[in-house]
Amino acid sequence: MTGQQEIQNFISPERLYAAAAFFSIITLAVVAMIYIRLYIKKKTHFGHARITEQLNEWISEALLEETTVNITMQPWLMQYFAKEVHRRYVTDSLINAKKNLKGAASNSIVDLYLKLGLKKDSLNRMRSLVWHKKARGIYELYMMGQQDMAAEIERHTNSWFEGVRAEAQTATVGFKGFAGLEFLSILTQPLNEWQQLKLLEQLHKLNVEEMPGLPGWLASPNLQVQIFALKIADIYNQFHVHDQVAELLCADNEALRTQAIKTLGRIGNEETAGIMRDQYRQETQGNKKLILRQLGMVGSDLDRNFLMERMNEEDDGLKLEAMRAMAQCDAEGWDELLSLANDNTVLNSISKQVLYELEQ
Amino acid sequence: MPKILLIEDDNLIRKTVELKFKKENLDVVCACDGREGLQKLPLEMPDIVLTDLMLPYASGLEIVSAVKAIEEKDIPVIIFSTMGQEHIVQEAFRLGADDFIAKPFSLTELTIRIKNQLKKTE
Amino acid sequence: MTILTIATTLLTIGIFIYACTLLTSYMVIGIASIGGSREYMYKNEFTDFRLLASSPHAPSVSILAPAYNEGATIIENVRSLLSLYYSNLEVVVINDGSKDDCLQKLIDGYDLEKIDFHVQYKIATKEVRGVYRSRKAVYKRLVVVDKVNGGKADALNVGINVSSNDYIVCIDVDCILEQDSLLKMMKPFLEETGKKVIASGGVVRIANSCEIKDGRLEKIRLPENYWARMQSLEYIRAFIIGRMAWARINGLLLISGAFGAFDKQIAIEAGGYNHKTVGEDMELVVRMRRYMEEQRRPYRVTYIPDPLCWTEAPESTKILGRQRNRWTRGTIETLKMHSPLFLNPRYGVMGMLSYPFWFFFEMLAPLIEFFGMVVFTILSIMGLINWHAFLALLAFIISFGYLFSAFAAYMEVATFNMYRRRTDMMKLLLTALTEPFVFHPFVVWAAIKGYVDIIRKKNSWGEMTRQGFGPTAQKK
Repeated sequence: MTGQQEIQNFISPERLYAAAAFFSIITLAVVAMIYIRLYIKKKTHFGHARITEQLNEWISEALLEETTVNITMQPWLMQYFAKEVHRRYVTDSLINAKKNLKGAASNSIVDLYLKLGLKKDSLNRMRSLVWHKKARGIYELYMMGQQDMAAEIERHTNSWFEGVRAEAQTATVGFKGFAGLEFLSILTQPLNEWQQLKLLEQLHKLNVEEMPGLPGWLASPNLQVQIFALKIADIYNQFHVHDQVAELLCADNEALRTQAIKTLGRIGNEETAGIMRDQYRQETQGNKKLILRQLGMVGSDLDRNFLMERMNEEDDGLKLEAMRAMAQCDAEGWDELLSLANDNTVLNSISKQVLYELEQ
Repeated sequence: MPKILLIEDDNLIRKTVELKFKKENLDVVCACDGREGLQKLPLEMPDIVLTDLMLPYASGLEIVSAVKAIEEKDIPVIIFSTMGQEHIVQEAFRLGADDFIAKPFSLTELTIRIKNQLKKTE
Repeated sequence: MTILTIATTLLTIGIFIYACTLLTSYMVIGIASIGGSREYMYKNEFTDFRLLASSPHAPSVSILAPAYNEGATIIENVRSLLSLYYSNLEVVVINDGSKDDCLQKLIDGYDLEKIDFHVQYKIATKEVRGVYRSRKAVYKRLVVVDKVNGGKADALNVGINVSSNDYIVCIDVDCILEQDSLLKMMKPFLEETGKKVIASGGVVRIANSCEIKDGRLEKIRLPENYWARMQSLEYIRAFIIGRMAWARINGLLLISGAFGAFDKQIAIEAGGYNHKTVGEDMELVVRMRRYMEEQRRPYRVTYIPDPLCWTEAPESTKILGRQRNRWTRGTIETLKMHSPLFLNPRYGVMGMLSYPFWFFFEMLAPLIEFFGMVVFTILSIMGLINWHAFLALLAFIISFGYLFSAFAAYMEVATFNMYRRRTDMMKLLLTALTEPFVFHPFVVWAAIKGYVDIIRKKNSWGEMTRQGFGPTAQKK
């Protein structure tokens, strides 16, 4: 057989038609799957819709009762609860309600959750090997305040699976407060900014407590733990770690230095402005602007010359930040700057912007 | 019977609060989003408005502005806020909001605050 | 064997290999997209995005919305942007030298006053005539910039210069954004560790025939107009499948100009939008990626399969043709500007996979198809076509196309299902049947015209008249 014949055999019309027929059959199968899926979605949606009004009415009544002891499950509800997907929907509704309500109503929500047997579902999910089910299970148990599961949940705070780890950390802090942050001491997995934000929001609801682990977290080999520790030091005014934070200005990692600068602005003492000025020259443009912003908070008339020198910077952004800082920390210096600005178009333009901002 | 305009997009919360108020002999008109709230406001002329800050179609701040723009009647506005929205709450007060309740809230406390506001306007 | 026989054999083999490579790529892309979408849905199943909306620690965002002659709808468009769920937000509307009353409408509608503002020209742009802010506290998020006309890229660069926040979200001002779109778009920037997320894109869907009121989507409907309906399918294929798959391997080269989020500092360091190309959206992403590769800084361009943005698609062949012409020119210009990336291992996935894919299967595809059609015509006139073989090859390619479209429709249903009515899905699938005979040849023809225009050095956008979103965005 010649080469041409071989090729023609390989891509023979018969083979191509066979492939086309195969594709067509798969296409029909996919179209069937589309319709099945749509049918199921529609059925579920209308099932929810039909029941939601009644369900919300029933749940609301139950929440307003002093106790759930007398709450009975009517036949339509028991039928509804037979399906796991419906029970999950009710769990979600209760969780949502719990986020919004406290006091007696909140207790009723938890009672209802237990009385309806929804905890069993949550436990099954938490003990599943599939990561997203596990994460959901942890989330549900935590949101429903199931403190008896705290120890089991805490074991997952360093899980390899990000979703599981995140929910376990959130739950542990939720259950134990600041003491729940202990996991930071042993955390080897990443702690991304989103999770840090969630944890900060958890802590925001609580009264601040001692954090004996803080110096250790600031020295952690895990970079994100260090950054998170800096944020905590910032938000909770942990002045006693000022010197340790200042040392982090020598770190190689820019993000770490950025957060250290922000934190120093909050927990600054009489030495901080000097430390910031010394750090300025070796910093990136972004961090330079940040330093100038912090000087607005921790600076004084001692920083006047430094801030005046910034008027010679090439980057107008640095001039702007330096002017803002001067306006905030040194009234005399600010007047001097305004006189200087009269003879310089760029400085004049920037000073007008700062004056506008001060009026707002 | 004093009339409350309740603007809250969460169905269950709206239902629960509505039921609670009805049990306290308060007349409740509900809206499930900002636009419905703005539509019902001039029609119902409630004695008090209770609104969430984060709503579909129009924000709680717009609701506050709209309520305070009504010259015929001085209607107090109470806003629901989530933790961390302090700066938005401040904004709401600048626009004229009378009180705020942080979520999660107690139904009992909410009812007491509503009744206190209603007493002030009598 | 005659030369003609050899030539036709080689041509047949060439087309077959090209087709098979393309089909295989689509299959791989299709499968890869499933995992990406599933992972996203599981990860965010019970995420409280509103946490990001109200947290003072959330990243600061500036929406940049260039506006040119948008006087008819600018007030509602801006209003809907101002009511987006996000606390640390600034909305920068850039009036790009509009000839209508766009600026005056904004001034009157939002009680704006011209303020003292020092514009830092971090990226060189046309002159800024003034910066405006509202006297009313409720609109304090709004900044309006009036500038000399310079085109979309220039307007966006002005927005970058004027914005005060760390992240920019570049949009078309007449697009409709879901209320929690920003929350969802910003989350990827916070999730990555070890790599810097420099840009993020989301799904853009077609809003034609949808019910829209006060700048919000009330009811979603499949477009009634054939061309818009066809584009719906196309967008589903491109966004839900194509981009999801590319993003999974960090090979995404394009984020829609209608809705994309960027790290502002990196955008500035890379030089901002290029006003010398009509494909400025793709060109920026490629340049930012190239910049990061050359700096040896680990990075990612992420993508989320959530439908966050709705836009109006062209309903007439005239406007659609102009759009596809511009897209072709934009692709050619971008790939030409960044030709050093081609099969260059220094640029990782982008150089070895993404760029070659775009080069062969996006840029050259219309040329190859057109060439194939011309050769086919000549050979059929000469009576040299083996009709049996030809029809078999055509059936093979068309049936695969149908399979891919059906798969795209399934992915739409299985993920963030917008078209829930069975009749809508039927219409979509039936429309897909016409694609190889109507829509696709038209698009290829428009692309060829794009090639011709590039050769003739035409560099305009062409007039893209839009109907705007009325109560129902459809032609009566």
